Amino acid sequence: MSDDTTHPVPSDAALADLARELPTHAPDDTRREAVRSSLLAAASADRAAPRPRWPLVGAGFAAGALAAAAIVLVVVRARPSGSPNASSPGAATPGAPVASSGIAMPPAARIDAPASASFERELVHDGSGHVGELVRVHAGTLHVASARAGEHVQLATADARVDGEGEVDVEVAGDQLRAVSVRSGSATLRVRDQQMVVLAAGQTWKAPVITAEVDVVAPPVATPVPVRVVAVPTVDQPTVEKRAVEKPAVEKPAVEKSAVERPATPETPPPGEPVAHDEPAPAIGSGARAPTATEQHFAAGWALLKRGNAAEAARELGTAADSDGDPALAADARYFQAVALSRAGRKTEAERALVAFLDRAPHSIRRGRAAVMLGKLIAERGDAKSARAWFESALGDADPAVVAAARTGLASL
Amino acid sequence: MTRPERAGQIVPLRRVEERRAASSDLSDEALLAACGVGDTAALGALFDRHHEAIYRLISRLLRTDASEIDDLVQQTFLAAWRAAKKFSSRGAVRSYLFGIAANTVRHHIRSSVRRRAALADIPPPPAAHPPDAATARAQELHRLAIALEQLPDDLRIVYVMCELEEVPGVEAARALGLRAGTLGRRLHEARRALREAIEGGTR
Repeated sequence: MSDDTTHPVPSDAALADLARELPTHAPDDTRREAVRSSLLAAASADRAAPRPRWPLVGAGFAAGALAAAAIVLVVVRARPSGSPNASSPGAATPGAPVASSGIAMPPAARIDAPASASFERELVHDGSGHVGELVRVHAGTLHVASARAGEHVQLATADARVDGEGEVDVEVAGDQLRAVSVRSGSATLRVRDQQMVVLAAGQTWKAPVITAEVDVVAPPVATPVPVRVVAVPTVDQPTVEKRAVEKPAVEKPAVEKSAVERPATPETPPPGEPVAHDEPAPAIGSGARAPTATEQHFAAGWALLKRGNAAEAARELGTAADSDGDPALAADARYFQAVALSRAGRKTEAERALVAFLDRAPHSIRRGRAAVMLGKLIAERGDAKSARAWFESALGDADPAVVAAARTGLASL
Repeated sequence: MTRPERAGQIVPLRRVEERRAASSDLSDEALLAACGVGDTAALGALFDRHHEAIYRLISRLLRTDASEIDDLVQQTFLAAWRAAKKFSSRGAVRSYLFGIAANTVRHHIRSSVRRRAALADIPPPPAAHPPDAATARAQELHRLAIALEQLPDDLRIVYVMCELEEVPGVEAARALGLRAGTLGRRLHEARRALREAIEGGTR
């Protein structure tokens, strides 16, 4: 007797159910986003360069020859003198750029920018007969709109190129691209050393936040006792009301800001930069006693860090951390030394400082931030396994922002 | 004043939800129509909406590495973008995309010299005697995977679309450019071949 009788033939439905159990592929978020960006880039390129049709080839050649001649004219006669349209305060649709050559110029894009914005407009040619407009942006937030549908606007910073079509908001600080938002149309971003990114309408790209920039949080201070104090002589301290400090209470949240006058922010900081109310208030200089060496070095280091002198700040903060002063303040100094080192690009030393901080301050409220920062540094050099461990260690942090940063770090691995 | 170095990392795109919601309100047909006039945002929305199904379909049609599947998914949506103007609203956009994906895979297989028999992600059945229920199930799955892989492309595409993705026959026939009778015959042949593979292993 055949075994067929003991094994019922599966029905079509049962067979399909079985087949559905076979593994399928589902991309993770990173891959999906990469495919999506690549797809949109390809689609944009596809639209920008429609396939030539044979009946139009002859006309294309003729147009190309005319365009080549036009380029020669542009190069020879139409170089912008000085700085064309430089820093047009509140510029709204400056005239068509350099139209003196007598050839058809690309239509000028509309640019809305505040008076503080700094940018220039110039003509460029791509070697294939096409003359376009390039907007070099140095600082400020610009709202750029194509002159008409289908026209592209090229924007450039020191570190990035943006090819926009439609309406695009571009934020630049210090010649560095900070953010791009597409209101309508699309934009292609080519940031130095990064993968190309395509944004569709409604999407925003923001420059990576530097670890050090987000990790600067006020160090803990003692319970405030309002005391009028004199300015500290050795440190670039603002003349503000200080707090008398008996001893820095490390584990106490450092957000007691209400009783303290803060220095006015000299200028609006760009996104990601520490803002005034997040600055630490170095607990030194009370009228009761002279600041210790640790406090002095800490304050000096912080002032340097605030001024952007990361290398010097790292040195001062390292001195504070190595001193025999208050252990809690020294631990904080180690943390901020790591921040300074990271800003100075000395990643390996920053890692060491963070590890030292984590060893020295097992109960610090900054452990989560330090762990995230360390995870990012380790991930940057490709050690995903170790980075994962540090990110995971920060998931239990009391600060939701730290937990979110840890999750982002994990997702990026 | 020295500026801090940039970290050189890409942060995930932060979509503006309200704008995204505007796209998500549109029907598939409207998105495809927008693609036809060159709206890349519509293409992005279409991708967001259907990429999982396309990934699943392609990975069922072709067992290969993840990067190749990524490429095929992208080719599928790009082909849909280029052909968006030709879409007739008689069928569902999902079926239309499935048809494009199937053709993309078919062309990929034909143009590819190397035809992988990559079943590495399917664990081989354990050699247990006598097999318990779980082992028997695993063996069945393995046989089915091999049988599906060995099916002629035309039969496999029809089987995956109609049986596994449950695309209605009329829509599948339209998406694949087949007559209904041809589709039905292929589906019948595919089922028979797979059933024989399962039965053969249990004898």
